Amino acid sequence: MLSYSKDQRKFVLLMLLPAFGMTAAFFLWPTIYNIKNSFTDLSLLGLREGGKWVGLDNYIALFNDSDFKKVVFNTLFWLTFVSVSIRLVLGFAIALFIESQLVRRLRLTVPLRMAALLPWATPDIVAVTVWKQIFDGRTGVINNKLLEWGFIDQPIVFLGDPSYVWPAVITIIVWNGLPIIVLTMAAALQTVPRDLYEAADIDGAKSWTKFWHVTFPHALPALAVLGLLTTIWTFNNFIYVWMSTSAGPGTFSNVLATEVYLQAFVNFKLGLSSAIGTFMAALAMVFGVIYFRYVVTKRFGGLM
Amino acid sequence: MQNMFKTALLLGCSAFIALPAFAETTISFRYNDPDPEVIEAAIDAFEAENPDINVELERISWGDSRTQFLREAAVGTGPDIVHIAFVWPLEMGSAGALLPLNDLIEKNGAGSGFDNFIATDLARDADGNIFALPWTADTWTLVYMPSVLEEAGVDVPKTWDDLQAASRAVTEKTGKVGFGFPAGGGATNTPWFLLNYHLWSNGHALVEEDGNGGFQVGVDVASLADSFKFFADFMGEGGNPQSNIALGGLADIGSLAPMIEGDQAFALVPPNVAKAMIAAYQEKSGSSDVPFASTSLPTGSVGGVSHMGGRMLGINANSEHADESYKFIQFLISTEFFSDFLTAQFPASKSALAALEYPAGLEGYGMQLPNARTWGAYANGKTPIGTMWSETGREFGAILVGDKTPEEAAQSLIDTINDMLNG
Repeated sequence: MLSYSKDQRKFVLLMLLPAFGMTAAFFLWPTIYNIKNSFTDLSLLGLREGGKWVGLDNYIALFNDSDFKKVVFNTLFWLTFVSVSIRLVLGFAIALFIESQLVRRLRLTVPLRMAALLPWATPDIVAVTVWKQIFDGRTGVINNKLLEWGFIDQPIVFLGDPSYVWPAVITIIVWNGLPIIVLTMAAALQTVPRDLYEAADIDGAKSWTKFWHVTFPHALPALAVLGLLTTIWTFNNFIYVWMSTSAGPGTFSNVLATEVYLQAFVNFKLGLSSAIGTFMAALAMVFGVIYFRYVVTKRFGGLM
Repeated sequence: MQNMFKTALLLGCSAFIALPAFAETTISFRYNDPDPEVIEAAIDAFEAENPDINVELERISWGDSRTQFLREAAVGTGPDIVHIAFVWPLEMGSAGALLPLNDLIEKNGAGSGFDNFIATDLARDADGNIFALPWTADTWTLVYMPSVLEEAGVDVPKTWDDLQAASRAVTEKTGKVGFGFPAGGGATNTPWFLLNYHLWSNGHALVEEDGNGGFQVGVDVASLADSFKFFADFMGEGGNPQSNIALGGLADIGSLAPMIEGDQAFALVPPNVAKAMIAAYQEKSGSSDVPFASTSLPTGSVGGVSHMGGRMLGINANSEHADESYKFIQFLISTEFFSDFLTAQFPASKSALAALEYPAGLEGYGMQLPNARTWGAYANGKTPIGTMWSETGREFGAILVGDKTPEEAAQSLIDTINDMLNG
């Protein structure tokens, strides 16, 4: 084990100090300020005077509000669980295809990797605007084709009909979020030792057996980290839901991030909005700790 | 060498002393409407007349302008002059974001006098502080496509019930859109305006003065539910396509396309949108014909009442150049400014509006403006209008997707407004 002298430790601490300072100034202080605001009735119209201390009133109001439970469900189930699961499965499948022998033989690996990057290169606002046109009930290409081919008699209002709004929003999110999964998993697949496949071939292993016993265990650590990161990024996602549905129709697709915005900048209740933000941070933190401790460290600790 | 040094010193001192005489004051003006080139041309003219004042134009969308300015003003920054909606001056003034203009008005005047402006009750608080000057005026009224009405064999509607019947008939007989409007959730302002017009036209209001200096909800659950139901019935076979439930507002792609393409009979829009529709139609068809006509708002039991809307100009309470800013505001509210530059909008002065000749297609605005009311109690109560607008849109959306009945939505909206008025 390496040992450091007292001076060396001091030097390391000194070098780390700016980073700690920046973290404290730009992360810790805003967090504390937000938590403090969550115990006040601060309004956007009262920023100069500040808010009055209201104790736990904002939190009590949130947890007594039946609509808020729906917002939490939308966030956890539709926005996060469903969209992250689809992205991980689909992204992994696409990565497997890109790194497959067939694609290599056809020399398409690099073009396909570049194609997979395309959604990432598209600005969010452009992506949502284009998707809204694609989903449009009157002129959208999906409705036009479905009508033309006789699959439907009436156009489907993808972003306005409760039966379709979540699938439509998730489609947009999945499209945008796939590149990181595909590229990371493609990189992970390249690290699987080739000799393991050769040994499996000698043993007469079938494709499925090779996937399950060789490919998957090696890909799992990357998939686990991606699962954590993607969950946190998606859980906080505001832009795709707000821009595509404005949390509607009604409040049907309202999620925690859009509720933070609505309470702060539509209803001007910064105190209540801060309470929702604090609740979101707490949920994400609990998820992160559990996931890292029990999924990443315990199950795949030996592989990482 | 010594002489050279003395000369240089003298020149330096002279330049230093002369500097203030040539110094320009720079003021910033944040303008939110989508025609900045008009304002840029006006700024050039203003700067030519006032070489000591430099005006910088800032831009922001209407959707973000209110909250952005409130955040900036709270920390001592922001533009010198702000372009704000009619219902914002009092809330911004009470938040300390806007400078009271009383002294500047007293010293320099304000157009043809402050009382010649419309909607002065929205600019002046109970203590007499004037936080902004009304600049442009508008209201919403009914714009229609005569050719589609003719095709469907329907007349121009006079009442709200006529509009509903005509809209349904247009869709049934021609397959075209009858009365089309964006019907999305909280971010859409259209349900808010429609609902209030219908309530006012039938003698109700979401917010009214209670007679004791306070405010109260001015409608019962049954009447509010009737108004919600009235507009919900337009969806689908009633003439407003279901797809409009996904539209975020009049600015959304697809919102006005059917009107411009001749596939829609009626729209309720402000004048700038009507003008944009006419321009888009003319550009598309390559003709100078005006395809639309407009008329006054449909009537209910007490008439056809719309809102007196428009924009005001205020000075940031943090501005260090209030005099120069006010001078620029005086230029912006002048008759010359509206005749030479901002010809697409109506000035917010009583005398100018009375003398105005409305161009073809916009004649309805001339008919409707005398029947427009200001938001009045809505703006003076404790509930931000943006909040009520958002809640109204969300409740309306909840009805359309079957989450709530009109009665449940009405009860919920009344409870929310009551809570905020009494909170």
